[in-house]
Amino acid sequence: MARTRARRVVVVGGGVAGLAAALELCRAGVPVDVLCATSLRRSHVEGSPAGLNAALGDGDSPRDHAADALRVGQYLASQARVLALALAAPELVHVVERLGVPLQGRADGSLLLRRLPGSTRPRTAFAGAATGLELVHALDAELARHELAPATDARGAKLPGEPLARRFEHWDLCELVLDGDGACVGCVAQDLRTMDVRAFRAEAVVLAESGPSLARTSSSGVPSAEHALAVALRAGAVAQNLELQAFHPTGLGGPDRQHVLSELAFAEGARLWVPLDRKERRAPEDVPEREREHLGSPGELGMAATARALVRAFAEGRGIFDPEREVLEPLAWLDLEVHKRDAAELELRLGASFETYRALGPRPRTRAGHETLPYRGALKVGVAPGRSLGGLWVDFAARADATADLDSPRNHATTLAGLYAAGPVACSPHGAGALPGDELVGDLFGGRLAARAAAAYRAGSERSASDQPSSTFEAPESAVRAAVEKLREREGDGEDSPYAIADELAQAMGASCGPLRDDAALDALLATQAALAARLEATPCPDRATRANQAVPFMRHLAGALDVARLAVAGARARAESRGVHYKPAAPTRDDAGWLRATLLRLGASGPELVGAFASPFAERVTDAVDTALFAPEPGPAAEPAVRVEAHDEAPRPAKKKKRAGKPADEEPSDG
Amino acid sequence: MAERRLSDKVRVRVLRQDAFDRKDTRRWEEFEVARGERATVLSALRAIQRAPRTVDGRAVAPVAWETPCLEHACGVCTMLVNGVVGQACTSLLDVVAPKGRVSLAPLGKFPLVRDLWVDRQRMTDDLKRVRAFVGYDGSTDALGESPAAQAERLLLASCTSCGACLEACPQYHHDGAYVGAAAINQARLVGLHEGGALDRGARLDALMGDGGIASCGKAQNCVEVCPQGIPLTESLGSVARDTSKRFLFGWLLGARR
Ligand SMILES: Cc1cc2nc3c(=O)[nH]c(=O)nc-3n(C[C@H](O)[C@H](O)[C@H](O)COP(=O)(O)OP(=O)(O)OC[C@H]3O[C@@H](n4cnc5c(N)ncnc54)[C@H](O)[C@@H]3O)c2cc1C
Ligand code: SF4
Ligand code: FES
Repeated sequence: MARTRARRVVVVGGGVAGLAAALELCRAGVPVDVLCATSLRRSHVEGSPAGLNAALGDGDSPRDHAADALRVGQYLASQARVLALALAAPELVHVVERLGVPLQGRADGSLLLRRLPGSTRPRTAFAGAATGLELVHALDAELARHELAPATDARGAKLPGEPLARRFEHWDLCELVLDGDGACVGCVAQDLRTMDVRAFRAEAVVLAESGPSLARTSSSGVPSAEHALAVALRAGAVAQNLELQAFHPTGLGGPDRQHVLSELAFAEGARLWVPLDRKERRAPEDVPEREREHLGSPGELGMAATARALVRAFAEGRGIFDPEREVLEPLAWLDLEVHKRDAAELELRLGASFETYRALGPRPRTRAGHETLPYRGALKVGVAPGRSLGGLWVDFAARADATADLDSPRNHATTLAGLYAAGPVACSPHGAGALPGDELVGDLFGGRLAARAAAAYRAGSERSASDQPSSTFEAPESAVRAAVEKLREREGDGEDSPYAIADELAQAMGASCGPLRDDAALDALLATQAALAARLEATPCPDRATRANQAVPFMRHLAGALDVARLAVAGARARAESRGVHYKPAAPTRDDAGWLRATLLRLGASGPELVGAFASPFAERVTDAVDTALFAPEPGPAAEPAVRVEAHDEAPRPAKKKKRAGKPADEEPSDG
Repeated sequence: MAERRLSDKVRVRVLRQDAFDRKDTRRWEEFEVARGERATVLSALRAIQRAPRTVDGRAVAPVAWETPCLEHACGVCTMLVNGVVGQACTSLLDVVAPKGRVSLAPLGKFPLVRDLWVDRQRMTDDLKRVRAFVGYDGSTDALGESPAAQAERLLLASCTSCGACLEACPQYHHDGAYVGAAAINQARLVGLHEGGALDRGARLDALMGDGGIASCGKAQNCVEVCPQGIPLTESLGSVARDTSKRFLFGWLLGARR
């Protein structure tokens, strides 16, 4: 067991949410252990380019910001929570600057703001091409400072040899430790290099290890983030809206994952279209305007609605014809109309967002090709999965007047006492779709809120993990150790491999639980998942090494991913409407009367269970109701004509695709 | 330029070792993978992971390596590709193995974990050593930095701690004292920030100490290999000037007393 005399809080995950939580705890003088399955500077958040939304511009207000976010999220989010974020965001952006992130500004000292799709005003502050990377590095550096500071006990005396913050890199969460009353008093984790298993005592645990990636499970070598979610679900936690996921209308494909072009292209007026002729052989620039069908631009429609337009078009059998292979592909042209612009100027503004495309995109084959602009004509894009919008159900302390109580131990509390969650592992505060630019600032805010709540819980709780007998920790510790050994030594029959199972899961999820959904296909998918789970149980472990064995955690994560994926499919099956990007031709419109509510799910003994209401540590009865007191929901789009889902091979198939966002331009934004 | 016809298969030679203390297990193993469209070194490693069998038909353990982001953001898949530092996820087989052969080896300047997986812990420790943090003071006021200052910091801030500069540096050894270009650049970056400037003295002292700026041999390899294009030699020069000023200034103060 990890030794400590300080009453520590454990944070699992070192992305933006986890680091924000850890720093907030340090600021309150609460000693913290940060566990992280990779090293700290390697979180997913590094790839997130968009920036940070805050109502800092002239004439903007937190209320307008919240109204935009709720509209884009199609009113499925907690309104009090959304408004709390919008109110906190301007200050958070300044904190980010003060932490060292070089946010771009003007000569007068104010910040440059971009207008991203879905926002009614320029509202997104940014650090060049990689706000996420800069942010996580700044937070990490700050954590290092707290690692040099001593921890103190309740009376303020220094605890020799105990730093305020400790980091445990390459430690993978395996199990939560619960006391006799079911409260979380710690966790068990494994060092992925030495394979040591250890229990960590904790006054509270904050989960921040990113969210479910649904169709992205095949990215091998990547610590699968749904594992923490699965661990909490197995301990009895309730999940919410797991069926909802963001999809980008800007998938670029890619050899190893689905890369995604940043929303920024749309800030430059890019439009999406498909040729009217389904056997069009000409290059895009040679297809005249009247022979194109425009699918809209997120600048006007928002990202989710645009992705949905693409999904519908592909489902109706439109796309781009590949003359070499003689097939119609579920792809559209993303057109920047370069011929009408100054190419050099465009390069300056958008060049950085094409970095990955230039390196790995489909067209340049030769070295010389890499140096040419990839967007001379237009880019082929498809629909690609983004971040999950569902996760663990978390509480939020709203006062009677619907304002937030930011000091309550209730905020971001899960259904298990002492267990908190922030970032995408928690159900997102974004509803059925995130306003681009809200994610990072939302993760920061969520991490801070969860940390404040965990600190309040620690201060107010009568029990302490340090009063627990060591047997409370030793039993789960040995159980994990035994499970690890059993897995490592598992001989199975045949040639089956966990990597093959992961690929098949990703493929199946992409094919049937993407944006386009059909109940019969979802039922079939549930059966496929059960079969894959059974196969995983019997698969031999491909590696016997006793150290740095990557197959053991991979198999563990895959089992967790399967559990989470089953809940997601059950949720998708239940939700009998079309909301956000998600589109069920059998129920083609948003149904506020029936479905302006959450899907709550639990992992039962025999599989996913829908929950109507449940009790949480701070509320006797939680229901699936969504609050709509502050902003009246605007009606959804008028009924869309039903499309025929054709069973042709080129149906939208984001199967092997994974999400990604490109890197945006260095320079930007028109104020308008 | 006429496109040369590329082989359909690629032979991947991997330098393997079971653990840091198992030098006896150091060996080359050769695998064959299909050259998929736009396939990268990462694609090849994943193919090997799915069917870890050498060209002579032996079933072996999957190759261990780290690849959290899969797309040129985290820097951690940096390894030696044909003996040159490169990132697995962006090294196209068409470029690194046009003739159907490529060799992969772990970075040599870091302690080995297993196979192509190395331990960069030292880089984090060195950032602490040179006090590369701004020291947030709890303020929530706008910073109001000038665009020029901001642009200068942005250029320096994109370091992913990939370690390429250290791998290329003749002065850097994992058991030596020198912190290398990455940490020195980060220290310079932090010093340019209003908050970080407050701790400037302590930071410069750390940079003047054992393993600090004086250990730089000015080989300039670092700037050549940095995948982020950070002007490392400029950072080294700037820190060298600052430390020598502090040295003189401190000495004068001492002499007067
Ligand atoms: C290339 C790319 C582009 C993206 N673009 C966008 C975008 O444009 N917009 C957007 O909203 N989002 C985007 N995302 C997603 C966004 O970055 C994540 O949703 C966000 O970073 C999540 O923050 P986090 O702090 O929860 O998790 P992360 O930053 O993913 O960090 C998770 C942490 O948890 C650790 N961890 C994981 N599993 C375990 C375990 N079992 N035990 C211990 N630790 C564990 C990891 O090591 C890591 O430190 C993108 C992601 C990528 C990779
Ligand atoms: S300075 Fe460049 S080469 Fe060195 S670690 Fe940072 S990104 Fe890598
Ligand atoms: S895997 Fe992150 S840079 Fe290659």
